[in-house]
Amino acid sequence: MPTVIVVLIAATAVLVVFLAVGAEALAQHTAGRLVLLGGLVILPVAVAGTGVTTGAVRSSNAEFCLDCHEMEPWGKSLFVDNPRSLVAMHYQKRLIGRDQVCFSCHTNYAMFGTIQAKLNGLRHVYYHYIGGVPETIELAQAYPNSICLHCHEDGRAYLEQGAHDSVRAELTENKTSCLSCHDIAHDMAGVKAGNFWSPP
Amino acid sequence: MTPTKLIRVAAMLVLLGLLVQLVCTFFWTPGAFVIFASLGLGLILAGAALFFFAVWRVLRQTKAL
Repeated sequence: MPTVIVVLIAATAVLVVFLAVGAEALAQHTAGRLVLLGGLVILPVAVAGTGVTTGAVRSSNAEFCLDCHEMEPWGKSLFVDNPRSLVAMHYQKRLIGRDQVCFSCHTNYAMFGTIQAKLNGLRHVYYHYIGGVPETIELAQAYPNSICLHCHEDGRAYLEQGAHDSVRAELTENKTSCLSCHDIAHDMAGVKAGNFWSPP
Repeated sequence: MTPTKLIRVAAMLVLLGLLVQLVCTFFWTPGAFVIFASLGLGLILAGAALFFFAVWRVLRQTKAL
């Protein structure tokens, strides 16, 4: 969490203490009542809201996703030396931002995609702390092509690849999954074998 | 409860919410963020609601409404 938010929360807390102590005197006149309104309602709600918004934005960072130990192997799969692994290639070739590496491919780019991703994350937090982590971690729903096509649909590599020509309509309509051919997303076998790429 | 006392309770709720948020910022994990956003913000909003209730009661008592 950025220091400025921490300082704002702490400063607001100190202000609230002073206002609570002087509440009786402040409530006697209009200016004092306005100070109470500002100090006890508007400022704390604004600071807390800013904190929640900042937290939500930062929860899109890979570091946040990989904070739970069960995600560690999935994080390691970014470094596997396997040109067929989608995750490894997207990460190692910097096709996606390194900080947003999880979020970029695990969010739906529709209107409420981010909210849906956060709600999914909330379910993951539940599993981590309360429900128990399942033995095999799998996607809750089939991976939609729209996430891939969001970036690749008008990209040269996708358009010029002849193998796509016959299935382009099916891919757009999500009738054939991109993963039916690009079938290694996270190369977990590579992680297990310790087959990692090391930069020269 | 007098309006001043209500305002003080509201201030305590807001303070508690801010303290919850402050503690969470020092142990920033996915779980801490959930507590930050639900419990922390929830307490602050509850305090704000109580403050408005106190104001509303005073306005009603003084027949300003």
